Amino acid sequence: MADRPLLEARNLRTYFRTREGIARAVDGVSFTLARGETLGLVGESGCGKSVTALTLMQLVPEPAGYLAGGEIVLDGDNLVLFTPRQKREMRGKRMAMVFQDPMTALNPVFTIGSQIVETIRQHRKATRHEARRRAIEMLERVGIPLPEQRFGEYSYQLSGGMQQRAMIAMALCCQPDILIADEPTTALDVTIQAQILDLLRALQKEFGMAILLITHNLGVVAEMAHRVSVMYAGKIVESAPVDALFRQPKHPYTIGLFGSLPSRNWRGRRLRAIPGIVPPATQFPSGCRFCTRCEKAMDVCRREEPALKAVATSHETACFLYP
Amino acid sequence: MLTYVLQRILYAVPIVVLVALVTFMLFFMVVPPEVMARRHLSAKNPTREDIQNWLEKHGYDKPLFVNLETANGGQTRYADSQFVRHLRSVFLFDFGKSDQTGEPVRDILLRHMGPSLMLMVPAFILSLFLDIALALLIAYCRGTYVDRWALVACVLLMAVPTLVYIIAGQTLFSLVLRLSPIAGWDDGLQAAKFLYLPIVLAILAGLGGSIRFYRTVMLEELTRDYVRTARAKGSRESRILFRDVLKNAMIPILTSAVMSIPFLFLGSLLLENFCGIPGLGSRLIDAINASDFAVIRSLVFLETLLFILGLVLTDVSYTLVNPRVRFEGTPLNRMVVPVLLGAGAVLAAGALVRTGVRMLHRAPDAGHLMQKPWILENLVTAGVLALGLFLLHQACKRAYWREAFRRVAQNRLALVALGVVGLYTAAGFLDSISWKDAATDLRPRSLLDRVFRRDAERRERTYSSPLALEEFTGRPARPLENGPHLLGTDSTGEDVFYLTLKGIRTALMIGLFTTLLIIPIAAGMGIAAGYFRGWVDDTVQLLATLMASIPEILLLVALMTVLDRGLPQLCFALGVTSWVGLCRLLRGETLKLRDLEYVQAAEALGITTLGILWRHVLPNVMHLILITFVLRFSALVMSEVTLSYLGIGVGPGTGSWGTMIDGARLELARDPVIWWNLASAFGAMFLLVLSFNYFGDVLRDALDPRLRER
Repeated sequence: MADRPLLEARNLRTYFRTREGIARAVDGVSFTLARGETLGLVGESGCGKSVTALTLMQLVPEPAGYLAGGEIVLDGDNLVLFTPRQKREMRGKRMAMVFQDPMTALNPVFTIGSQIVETIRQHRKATRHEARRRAIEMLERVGIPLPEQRFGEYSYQLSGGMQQRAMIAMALCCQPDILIADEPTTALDVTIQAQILDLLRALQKEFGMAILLITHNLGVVAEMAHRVSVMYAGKIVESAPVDALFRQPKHPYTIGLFGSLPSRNWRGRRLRAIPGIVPPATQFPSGCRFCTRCEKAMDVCRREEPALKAVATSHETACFLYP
Repeated sequence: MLTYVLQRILYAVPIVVLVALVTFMLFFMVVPPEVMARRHLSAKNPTREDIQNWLEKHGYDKPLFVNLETANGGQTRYADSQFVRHLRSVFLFDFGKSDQTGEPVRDILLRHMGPSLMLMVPAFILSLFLDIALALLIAYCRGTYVDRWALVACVLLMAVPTLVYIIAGQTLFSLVLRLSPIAGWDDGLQAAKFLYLPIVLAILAGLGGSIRFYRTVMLEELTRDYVRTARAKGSRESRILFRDVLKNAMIPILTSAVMSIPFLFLGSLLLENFCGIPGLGSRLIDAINASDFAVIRSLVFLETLLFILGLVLTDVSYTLVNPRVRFEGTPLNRMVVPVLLGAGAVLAAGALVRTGVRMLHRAPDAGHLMQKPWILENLVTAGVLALGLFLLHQACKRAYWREAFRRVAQNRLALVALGVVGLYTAAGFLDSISWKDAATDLRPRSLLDRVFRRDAERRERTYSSPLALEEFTGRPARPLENGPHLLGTDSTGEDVFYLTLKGIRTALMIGLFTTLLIIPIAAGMGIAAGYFRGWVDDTVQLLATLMASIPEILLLVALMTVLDRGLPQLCFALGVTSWVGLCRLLRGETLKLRDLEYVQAAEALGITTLGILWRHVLPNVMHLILITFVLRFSALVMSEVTLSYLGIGVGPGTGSWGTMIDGARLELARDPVIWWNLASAFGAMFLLVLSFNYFGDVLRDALDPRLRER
């Protein structure tokens, strides 16, 4: 079962045409996802994580955005070559997505239940009653009490956590192989965060699906992911199993990220931040994209771009410190 | 939902009461009774006795509010006053007798209501469906050439006033193509054949604006997050548009559909008149021509009542599409102070206008105030020019405006439009600076007159076509003495091109002075409401809702009937009816600004309220004021055309495009057809309106703060 990865993204490039030039939001990103595994995609705001997710779903807003290169192989099928109709069929059925802000992601003028039923009937032949029954089942599975009542309620009548659960129910109602969760807990408060994460883990065990978890929160990653890829400025700079990443981060950016986490032991001391800001996607520096902010930058870093290389078992990084 | 409906209905009650007060103020307070009597008896020189008789007959001799006299038997009759009689008549629906025919007004109204409804209701419903369907189609084809051409078509359609649609439509469909009868009526279902054309024209007149707006709403909804979720679920694009987006889009669409109901009133006025439909509208026009105040005020009140009912019904239907609709007026317990203040404001305004009217009538040449002291006019022109330059200078000092100008300048078509507007403005200025050469001159001649080398005497006596060499009256043609005229001559031999140029000044003045009138009022009230909130806000909202509840055209009719025709009166009337939109807009923006940190910081520093308003709030709403001015300008110019047709425009002395188009209706029916008056006036107006609208759109996009983040 684990021979061929479920999802393989090869050298994805997603560019946007803007007034200031071409923004290379995703510039050569590759990763794999195996069945039942959770891959965490970590990075600052603006590094291209969400665009990667949208690219996988083939939802990049056109005509400004376009796929400039790369392949997405889902269980042997190259999604890039799909017709629009095939893409539509894929979405929701084989690969589903949950978004960051459930309040705006749900349609405010339709009930929760009707939105789930719509998804079910889109991908399967089901009568209204069957679909309704299934939707209520899903609502119960995601931990929403009194699901029959909630079925007929609108999004504004639910709390943030409930809304997110409803979104998850909607995404999973057709039992997709992959769930992409784009910052699913960022808009929620911390106690609810924990509940949602527990729910995702339980559902993963139950359905056996793979999860691509996108977040900027290292704590969430530590709890949920089996493997982690760190993104910066449209490229993956490090990729490792979660323990290895946390114990022995290799790339200066990853080290900087961990170093900037505040700790109780540091009372009274200045917080450590990575100096500088993420460059805009239209003005990446030549050479390694992190070179302007890296304290270990060398001359070669400013000239050439490093490629991803293995530094330990299934631990890769793109840095000239590890030739 | 039930609470919403109840609250909504209850909120309408004080509005209706205040509307009764407004109608009373308009028709009884504003014009002194002697002036009214004089106007009615204008044929002969009225003696004091005649006037007194007329006043007694129509009940204008009673005191205004409270009757403190004692009658013969020693009884006091407090309630025998004009105000109480008016209240009784409107709330018991006993409107008295027509000033003109003596017939009970109630019978008149009942008789005419049917045809009006038969016209308005199908027109409204059909146009709503059609506009939404077309907008959906265009939104579905967004980005393609269908979309682009549709947008161009909408902009063109919007620049044509209703009156021209009717004239052109009637000529085309009835005279030329003979598809439907020109005018007429029949009883019962037979009337249908007379309704096809007016309904089609009504739909056509509203098409451009509605489709453009609905399309914008739908396109905006397509950028929302829930659309992205729907795509991620695998829904078809068509399903997303026709189901997910449409239901959300219906919220602003229904709101704007309601806003268009007053235009149905206007359209029905004109349509009924042109197509011979015996509805309330055409009866109103008859009443205007006969100065039949009883019918006019009854109609104004009744139609306002119907309009408010329509608003309430539509708000209730809102609950079908918006599950979280909340009542946005003031709850009833907080209404007492605003209602009292509102009533006070209405009465105060009435007293103010009454004083103004008295002053106007004391002047020997009432209504021609603008043309009399030409020195004053030159000064005003210079003042306006100076103000404009000053504002421009101030704007260039700030980066925000410079950036906006730069973005506008990138759009070459917008620069062309601006150039056109500039030419018009130059012509207007030329026409505004005038002086008399000698004391014996009848009228001062403006710079425009001098450039055109207008001789004091006209040589031509009657019509001639563009570039023709002869006049024609059906008899042997008479060769022109001054050579061919570029656009022909009108019925008195006046050069049409010259007349069109003279109309520019009137159009510009209407746009400019009305806006100058609106801005202080709307800005003052809107900003105060947003900043001080509380009872100030409640009162301003009440007044705004009150003004918005009276259909604009009816209020205009009422004001112009009462004040008589003339350019300053027209500017005033248009100003009174147009301030609500800007007021609400500024209130909303000020509400947002007030909570921003820099305002709170200013307050914490102890800066006076006036200082905060002047330096922090006002500059940040200037762009809204500017955009409203530019976009309202063309609406004002076009409404002058309609009002001149109705006979309540600028009056015969001032040259205007409206008067030219008004006369065109009969001219088109002649043989040979005289089309150049209409074409020239409409062409000039169309070009100005189109340029202004296009430039306004580009300017609004350039000033939009959201677009700046890109």
